[in-house]
Amino acid sequence: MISQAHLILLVAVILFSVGTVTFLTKRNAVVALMGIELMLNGINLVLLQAGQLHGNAEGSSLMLFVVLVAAAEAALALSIFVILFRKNGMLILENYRSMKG
Amino acid sequence: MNIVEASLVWIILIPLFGSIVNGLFRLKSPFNGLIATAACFASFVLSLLAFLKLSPGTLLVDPGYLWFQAGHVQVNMSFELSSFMGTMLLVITGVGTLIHLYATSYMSHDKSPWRFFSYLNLFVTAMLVLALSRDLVGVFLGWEGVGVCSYLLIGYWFEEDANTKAGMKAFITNRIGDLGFLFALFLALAFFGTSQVSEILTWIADPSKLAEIPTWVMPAFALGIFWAATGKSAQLPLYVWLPDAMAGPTPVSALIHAATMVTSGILVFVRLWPLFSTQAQVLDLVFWVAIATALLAALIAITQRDLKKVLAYSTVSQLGFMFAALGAGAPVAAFFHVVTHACFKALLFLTAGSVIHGMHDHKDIFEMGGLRKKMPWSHIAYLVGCVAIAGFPFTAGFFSKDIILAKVFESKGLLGYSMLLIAALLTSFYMFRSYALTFLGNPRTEHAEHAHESAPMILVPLMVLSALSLLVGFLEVPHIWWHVQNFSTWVEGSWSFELVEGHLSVATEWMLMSIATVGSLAAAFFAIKKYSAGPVATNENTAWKLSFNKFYVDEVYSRFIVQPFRRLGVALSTCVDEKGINGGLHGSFGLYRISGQLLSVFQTGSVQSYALFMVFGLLLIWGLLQLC
Repeated sequence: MISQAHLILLVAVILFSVGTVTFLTKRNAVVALMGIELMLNGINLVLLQAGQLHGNAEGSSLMLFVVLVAAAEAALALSIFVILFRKNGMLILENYRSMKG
Repeated sequence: MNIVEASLVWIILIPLFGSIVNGLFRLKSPFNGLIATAACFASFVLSLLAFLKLSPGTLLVDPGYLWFQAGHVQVNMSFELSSFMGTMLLVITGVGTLIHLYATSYMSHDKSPWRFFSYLNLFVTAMLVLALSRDLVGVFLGWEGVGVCSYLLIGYWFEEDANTKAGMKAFITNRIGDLGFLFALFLALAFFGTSQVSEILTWIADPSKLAEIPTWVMPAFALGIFWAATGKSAQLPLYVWLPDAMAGPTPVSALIHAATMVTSGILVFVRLWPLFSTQAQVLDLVFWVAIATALLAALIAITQRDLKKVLAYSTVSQLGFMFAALGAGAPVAAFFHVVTHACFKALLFLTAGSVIHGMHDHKDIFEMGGLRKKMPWSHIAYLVGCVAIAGFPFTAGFFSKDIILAKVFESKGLLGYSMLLIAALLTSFYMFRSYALTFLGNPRTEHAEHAHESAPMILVPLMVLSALSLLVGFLEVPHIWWHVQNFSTWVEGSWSFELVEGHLSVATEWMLMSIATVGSLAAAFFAIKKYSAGPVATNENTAWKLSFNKFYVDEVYSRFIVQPFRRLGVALSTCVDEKGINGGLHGSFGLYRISGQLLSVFQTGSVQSYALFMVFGLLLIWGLLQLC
């Protein structure tokens, strides 16, 4: 018998894994960013479910922070993408290797 | 012992202020010298005031403050003045003032006299710390302080390589000796539990406590102090630095290397006398070392050509006399000789400085001659100094040397006495040889022809010291002449116990006195007769060569000690430093470089590969956690 909690956690794991694979495999930076968002959403689900299991507001309040940071991150990343695109005319991730050691 | 509280610290601090003022403000001549002299004189006045409060059996104590504490060991920065040290205090500050005054004129044409006077005042400070500290740690502080100042002043004219080397030689040789002092200090702290001199003396006076410590401690302590004294007070085997120390300006030779610093070994000995008096074997060693030093130095002095070298070896020889007195169990006689020697040797050095000044820095006595007419005052002063050191009747040296010879005869027998007597006769010979070559006959060179008398500021200290050299001996008239013995009574009052005294018969004393007096007179007349016409053509036989080349002691030390050490140093620097430490550092540096290169493979620059590594890392951690 699969409970609601198990279902939600399963969905969260699937979201996180899909996000990870997306981030690791997609060449386009915007799609990779989408993968990150997916991962964050998976984590948010876990947080909400954990809060419900413990019967307190800690999980949901922590989720609010994650949403906040994700929004900021998305705004920042998109603006960087705009600049990069204007400068180089493409957003292919593997072509940006200036941090190579 | 009657203990009175008094403020002694200003005696020390005033010369320190003088040193700081001269060092910081770089005063012009003659103000630098005058400030220094004033500081030393103020210290002398304070010393005199403190001295007037003294009486035998009184101890002036300045409690000072707690310097540091480590475990049960407490070291106080406190000062004390006994009747014995009070006498020395007057010598240090009194003779010091005269020498400062002399130096004010002597150094006035130098490039940076303020530096000289700063060092000189600092020396006086260190010497006073050495003399006044209650604690052996404080004494050691002064001991090292005078060593540093000696080094700075010997190498004062550092533009010349030889002077710097002489300074380093003095400093390093003294460091070898200082090891003995440190050793004794540690022994005192470990076994006596205190480093305060008076507490050590009460401690060893208690037989029940003495029984508790190993028997080797006391002789080892005494030997440590003696080893330190052979360094500072120029005895065999560490005397070699003193003749080289003449590279410094002459007032330095007079103050540091004749009157005060070189006697500090004897001062420490006399302060700790109750301890040494129980160590008969150590005193035996001290005695024979001293006799050997006195004789060796005198034998070297008879052939030297440099006026200051003659005086330097003479100082070594006279220090040998003082240690011989200590070895013979006569600390008061030794200290009396310290006081008289401070007067006449300072006089001789200052006069030599005046002569060298007049000769335009030529020191070779073979190039002098006939200066009697050119420099009449210096001539008188030097003659007085020679007469005093040779021990002509009623001069300072006569009284002090006579006591030493009598004590040695009394306790060490004929052999030691006759060796010391020979040294005394040689003293008379070489002093009058240098006198005759310098002042008698006709000028032998251009410089001697044009020599000129020095300034009054130089002559005044000479006259004062001449008077002292003639008169200071009357402090202690031989007891066969007069029953009152001022000096002994005064000095012995600083100990709480009686010295063992066995008097010789009156006839023996008269005999000893006349032998020494007649002998030194004869040696003096022989020297004058031989050398008044100028240097005698030397037949260079082996004995003469040995003496002229200082018995090759420096060469032997260089061959067997300095060179092996140098080779060891070179070996260490190439093997250990270059290959070991540097090689090790370079090796580890290479290791970091290679591992860095290997790890930088993972630094692809691609964001996604970093994320992949993170995922693998997390998986790895998760897997490890599962295993645990």
